[in-house]
Amino acid sequence: MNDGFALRCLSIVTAGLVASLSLVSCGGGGVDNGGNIPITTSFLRVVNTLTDSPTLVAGLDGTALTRVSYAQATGLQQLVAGKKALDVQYVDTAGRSVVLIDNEQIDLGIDDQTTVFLVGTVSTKRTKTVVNPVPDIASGNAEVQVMQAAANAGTVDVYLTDAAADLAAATKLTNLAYEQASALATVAPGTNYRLRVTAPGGTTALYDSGVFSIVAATRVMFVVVEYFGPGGNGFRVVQLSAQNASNFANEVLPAAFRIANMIADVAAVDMYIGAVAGTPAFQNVAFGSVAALQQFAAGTLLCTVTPAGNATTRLFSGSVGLSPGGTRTLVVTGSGTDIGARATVDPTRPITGEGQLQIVNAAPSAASIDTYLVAAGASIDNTIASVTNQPPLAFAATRASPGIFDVAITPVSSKVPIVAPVQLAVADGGIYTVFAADTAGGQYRIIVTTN
Amino acid sequence: MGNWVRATALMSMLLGALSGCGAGGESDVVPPVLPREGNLRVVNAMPDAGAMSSFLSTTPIARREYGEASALAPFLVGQYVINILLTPPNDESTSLVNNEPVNLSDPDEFSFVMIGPTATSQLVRIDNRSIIFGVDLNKPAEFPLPDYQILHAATGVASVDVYVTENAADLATETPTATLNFGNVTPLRKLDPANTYQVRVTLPGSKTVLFDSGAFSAPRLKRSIYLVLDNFGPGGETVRVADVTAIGAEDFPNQTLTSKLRVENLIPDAPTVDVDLVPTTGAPVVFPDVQYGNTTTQFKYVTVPNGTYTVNIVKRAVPPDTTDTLVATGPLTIVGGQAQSLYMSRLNAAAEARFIAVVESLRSISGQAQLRFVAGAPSAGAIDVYVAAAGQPISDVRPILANGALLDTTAVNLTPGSYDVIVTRSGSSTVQLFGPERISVGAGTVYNTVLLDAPAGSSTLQLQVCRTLPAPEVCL
Repeated sequence: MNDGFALRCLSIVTAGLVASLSLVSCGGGGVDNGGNIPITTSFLRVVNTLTDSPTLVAGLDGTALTRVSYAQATGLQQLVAGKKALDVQYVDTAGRSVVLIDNEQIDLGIDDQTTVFLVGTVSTKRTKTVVNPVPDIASGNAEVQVMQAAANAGTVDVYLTDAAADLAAATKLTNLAYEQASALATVAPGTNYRLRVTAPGGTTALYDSGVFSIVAATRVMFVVVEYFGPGGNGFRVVQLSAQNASNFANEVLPAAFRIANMIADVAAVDMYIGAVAGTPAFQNVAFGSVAALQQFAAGTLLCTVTPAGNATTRLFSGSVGLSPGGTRTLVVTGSGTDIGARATVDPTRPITGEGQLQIVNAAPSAASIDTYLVAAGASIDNTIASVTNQPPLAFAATRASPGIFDVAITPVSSKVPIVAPVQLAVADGGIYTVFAADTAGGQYRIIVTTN
Repeated sequence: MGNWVRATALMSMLLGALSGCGAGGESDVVPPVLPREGNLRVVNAMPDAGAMSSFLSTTPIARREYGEASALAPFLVGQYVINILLTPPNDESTSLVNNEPVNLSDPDEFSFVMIGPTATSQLVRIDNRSIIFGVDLNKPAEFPLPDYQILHAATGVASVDVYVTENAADLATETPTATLNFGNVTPLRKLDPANTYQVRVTLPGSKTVLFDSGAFSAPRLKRSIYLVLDNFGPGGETVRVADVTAIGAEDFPNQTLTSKLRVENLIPDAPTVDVDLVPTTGAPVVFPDVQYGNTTTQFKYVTVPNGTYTVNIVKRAVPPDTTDTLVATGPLTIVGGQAQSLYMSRLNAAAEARFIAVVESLRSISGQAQLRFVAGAPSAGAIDVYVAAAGQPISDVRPILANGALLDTTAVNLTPGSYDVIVTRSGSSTVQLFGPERISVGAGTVYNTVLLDAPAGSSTLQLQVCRTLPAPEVCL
């Protein structure tokens, strides 16, 4: 699902188009293709580990290629070998392109596989390039490599072992300082691997991938990146395939979870996790409020919401999936017996130069809404909505420059707010959630929380 | 026949357009000089393969799935190399044919057919003199007779007898046209355009038919490769034959392979419908009491005779209604060897219902998962659908379905692993209507996902996820 394949083909098509144009000649002549000249190619990808970056756009020779968010990688793109110029930029909240990497020269050798890491922060960005030969992996083997791209982790030991192995008796795969990459290592494919990161010489796992598989004839690059979710030790490891970067499915990180009570006619609710018995996990959450985050093991939680202190009346019951390192909020809304709920996925990583806003339509009676962000005191009459046509229990994300704003909510395509705007001070790197909610009196309310 | 006529017309137009080259601006009439071109195509006949991409030097030729052939495409004469790659969704391409020299001259018609399992695939290269070379396209009566050759590419049977006979000839008295081992290809043979024919495949020495094309005819100027393939249809037949023409790989219109159909009711205001398939002759096929959002209990394939039907969808009366209501009608063609799913829905109770029929995959792909998505939720409006790797934001991925309207569908191949399915308002990655819903897919599996409204038109969206391969089907 990555843009990689299409873009790779685009690269080849582009080269092909140039070739084709040069080949299309009138007069019935043949093609002077130099006598069956073989095609020579190289592979390239870009990995974004700029801890505070927005989504970047990586390009080659002045052409935008693909987007790459934090802790993500572009697909490995097959290109005609040769010298290229790498550009990396992003679009700021004012719509301006900000160049981070400007025409940095890279030489893509024949049958090389080049990975360009963007390391540091937006203000200290630099590149670290790792060049490998195109995989030529013997039957029955696989290859692994590790890149340390988390400044806060310092120097680390990395162990790749059987899941049950005792680190005290295990041999480390590599020891890496920040911005260092290990050599390629050949390993047997298997379904019971576990990757752990420790302090140098230590046996206490600061990061644990959980069990995962390494498929035969594949090359996997593990990248240590900074981590902004619940628990953990400030860094995690992601695995690069030829297509993208992904988290380990079983990594040993907790998830964070909470409830937002937006049921206007229920003053307060309890939420039970698992059996409806004993003390609820979230107790007496008042209307219009968001409970404090609690940590849970990743997995599926059975959630039951009741009026506070009344376990026999069930307002909502359903399951929510929690991924390792994820943060979610179950938004419950509605009235009477018509209660709906849906869990948000909450951002936790600050981005320099902007505030991140999540908009939640928790006002079923308002139907779909538009949301405006305007300078404090300004009219929305000549402003384009930041979020449009957002139905109940749909979530939306938007960005804003640091500053003071009014948040206004209107019916779709209307300039008449359904409730008085609420002022929001957006901090550089701030993360906020804006709820549009019904009130018991048939009116509406805007609730803003700072995460 | 229609496709062949279109191909001929297209080729004529192309030749006509290209003939403009070389004409000068002088008033003298300068005879147009046609570019000298040869023709080639590629065919993916690897039964466990995903997409296969091919390049003639740096020019892409085609990206084809199993059982598909590119059209015969003209290329300027010259010296090239051909590269053929497996291009799985994880972007880890595998080179199958590496810089094979291709010296293309204008009478040439080259076919590059990849056969066998991907791990041991082999190239069968068929070099013919083009049937259209030197032909005056303005003189149809002088067109060459149709011809064919046979290639055995079915890995499931080592050898086969192939009979190409006049229609309804008694096999008991016929000798095989060819007995072929895997990878064998016959020389070209002529057909009579005035006759109707039948292709049948048996095991060597047997008269038990494994595949029957039914009756067909071939016009002048048509050249076919009868490509014997592994079959993955709903009837369990081991082989089928594709008719590889200048257009691509086609089914024989009257082939007798078994077909199956299943139906799913996605009309929120219709708790129960009957679906009647009325043939032009004979008894209708009826799917009774199809409940809204049915999955495990009712979403099962039923064998349906090949042919053309009129589909009538009848909403069953619910008190206080007194009569059933016909909510949709339309044509449906059941093609031999296909498993189809029929989905029906409508925007609201006052709107006209409609249906789509989707050909489903019954074939595993080595090292890949296949996922189909059907937009079946009227309340969602136009949507974009994303399938992102675990931890990957949708800002980094393209939607698998963009601006999808009700009953739009798409199918993608995935690397085995965990993914988040996210549905957004079309054109706005900022308004998320559904998800993320985490799914895990394994190698060789086929998944079917349907976005639907909660019953009775509630705007709460649900995602049905069913694994259809390997059998038995399981809905999660």
